[in-house]
Amino acid sequence: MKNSNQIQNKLKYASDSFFYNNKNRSLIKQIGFVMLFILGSLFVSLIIIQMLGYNMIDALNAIFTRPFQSFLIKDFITNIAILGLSGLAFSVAYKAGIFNIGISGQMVASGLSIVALSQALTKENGETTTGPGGIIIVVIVAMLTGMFVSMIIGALKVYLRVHEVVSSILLNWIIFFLAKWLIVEGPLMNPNDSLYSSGIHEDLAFYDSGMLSGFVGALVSLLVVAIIIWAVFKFTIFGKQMSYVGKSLTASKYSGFKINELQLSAFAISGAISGILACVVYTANATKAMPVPLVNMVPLEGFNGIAIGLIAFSNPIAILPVSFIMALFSTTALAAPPFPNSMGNLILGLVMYGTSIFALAYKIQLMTRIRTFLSKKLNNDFTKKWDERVKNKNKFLKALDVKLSDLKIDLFSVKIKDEKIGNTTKEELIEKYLNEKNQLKNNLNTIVELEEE
Amino acid sequence: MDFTSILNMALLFSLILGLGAISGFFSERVGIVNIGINGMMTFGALFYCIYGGLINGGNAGYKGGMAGDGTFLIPMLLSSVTTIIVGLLFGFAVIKLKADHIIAGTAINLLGASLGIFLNSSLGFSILGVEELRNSYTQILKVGETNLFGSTLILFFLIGIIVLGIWLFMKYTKFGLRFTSIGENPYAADVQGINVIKYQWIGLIVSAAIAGLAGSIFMYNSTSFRGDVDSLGFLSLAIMIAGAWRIPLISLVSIVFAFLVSISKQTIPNVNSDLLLILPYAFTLLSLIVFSFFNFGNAPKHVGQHFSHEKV
Repeated sequence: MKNSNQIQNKLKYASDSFFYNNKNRSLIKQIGFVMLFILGSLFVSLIIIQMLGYNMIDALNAIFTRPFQSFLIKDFITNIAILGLSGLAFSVAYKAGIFNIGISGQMVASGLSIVALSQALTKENGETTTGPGGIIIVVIVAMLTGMFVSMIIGALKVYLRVHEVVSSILLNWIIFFLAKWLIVEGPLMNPNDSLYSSGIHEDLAFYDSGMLSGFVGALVSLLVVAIIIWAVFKFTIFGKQMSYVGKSLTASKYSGFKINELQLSAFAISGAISGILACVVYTANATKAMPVPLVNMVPLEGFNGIAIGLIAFSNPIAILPVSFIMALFSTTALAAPPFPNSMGNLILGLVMYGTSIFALAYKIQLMTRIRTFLSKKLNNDFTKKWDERVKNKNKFLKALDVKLSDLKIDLFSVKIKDEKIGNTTKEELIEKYLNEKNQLKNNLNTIVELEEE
Repeated sequence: MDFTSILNMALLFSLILGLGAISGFFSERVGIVNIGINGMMTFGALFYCIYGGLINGGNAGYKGGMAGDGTFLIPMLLSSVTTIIVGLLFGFAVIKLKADHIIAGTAINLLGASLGIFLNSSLGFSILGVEELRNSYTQILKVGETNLFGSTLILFFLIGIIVLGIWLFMKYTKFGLRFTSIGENPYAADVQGINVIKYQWIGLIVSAAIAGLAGSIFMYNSTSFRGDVDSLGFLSLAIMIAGAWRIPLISLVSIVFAFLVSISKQTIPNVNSDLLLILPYAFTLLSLIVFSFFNFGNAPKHVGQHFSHEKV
């Protein structure tokens, strides 16, 4: 009996200290708010869909069932990996105070290196010199290429003070036009297909013709990268220093951190993840090639990553559920007749806006406002008591003063009249006085506590 | 190579980029990073298509009014004014609720792109009677036998004068100097009795209006609306930084850049057009690197941070 009580107490202690410590409380609040805002903006977009003449119930049904149908689930998982990896690539840099808007460019550069590598490693008889293990070489080369591009931006920022946003936007376009030339007319073109670059050999791709998809490789790389990044920021000095550089550049400078090296490494890691992203984007689907851009527009993956990273507050683990939810919408966007193709886009945009203004709800102290609103509107006992207590505070304090002074007079008179008033002795009076004083003090404390809350 | 068509294109392109960059200037000078310029420009383009269709759609062969191609300034002004709503949305987030500038800006970008794409077909049907929103105006007042249009020149000189006015205003008036001081040190400005929050609101409203104008000029120069402004908003941001947060330099950079792009877009025999298009971007990057040795321009010191009395 005693033991079970002890265990119960310990469990209660553990759960209380988990749920009620300040850090976790704010975390739980945050997660709750994000979910609330995602649902809210989903609702808003459904209303817009209804207004445009579609059935919102059908739309809701499509969003939550289509991605799980057998012909789409593999694409769905690949989509999660793409969104998640781009989010991770952005977050690592963002944690170190760098705004990496060049993920798309780094991804395209890595894609080019993968296609070129596949050309170099494929023999004339259609086999590769490496065999099925070549995917490891591909991932490494892609990571190195992404790193190389992001390090250019990093070096320009760190050593020449060229703003990273400008240089990455310019590099995005430079790489984009270079890629377009290489794919359309250059050495990476596919003479038989005007829509795609020359193909990537299956040995060197995530795509598996047995499963008709490359979702396994995509998912594994997302999970591995997420866990590694999480561990680096959680457990290593290097990771902590990197996030401190992001939090306060001056403070970390005064603490003697090697800021240049830390920022450069953040760029490098971000670029490497963009390389892995390229492996997933270009080798995990059946086409196994880079698409020829039809309009002059830098691929959107990198920009989606910004949104995912910001919604997840740059937390590597939070990126996983966020990219899951976002992939629901983007996968539905691909295949949702009778709805227009852009439906998924609209929901995605609105949900991202909603989650972005989540931070605002936090700042306008939503919970406090709801609480005060409820206390004003609902006339239940608790709120009544609460209101009365707060309102009567001044009255109460005055009463306290009066009572205390009365008692003092009592005591004073006892002194004069031979230590006795009527039947009560001096000791009794002192005890009464102390009791009453303590009681009043306690009441006052509770009021102060309640107010502080 | 036809010089007049290069000139026509370059003039319009420099207006889009220059106005986008000046939009960024107005928000960064009051300490607010406006990464949502692209979204605001997209909204501007969307509104321009809507107003343009309502006013002049009939002349261009769609449904809508028939006011004539000479009225192109009216939908531009209307769309510029309407885009202020987006600026207010952004301002509500970053000034009133002190949200992260980058998050709110990204949200504006996403909202612009997604609403643009989504409303494109339904609005296209209801306003123009075609499956997407289109530019309802054709450029007018062709100069002789050349490919240069009078409308381009009118726009260029009109906006050139306005930009010159803005520059002088910001440089020599009390308002302009106070405005600039807020981006540098809002607390010092506050101590002087300047209403920082008021100036920030003004900055964002002007920024949104100018971005809307840039978006509508983008649309005036293209045929159909695709739900984006080809990421020119981001490029404008780059030009603003390359122009060292100074209006004369921003104007110069955008004009030079626009000319480079227009020249690169011409077909030159034996040269790949895509490779040629790398040139303006590479040139800008190189010039940034060269300028960096001279320590040319510094960002407003308080940019990206919130102003609140509680912090002091």
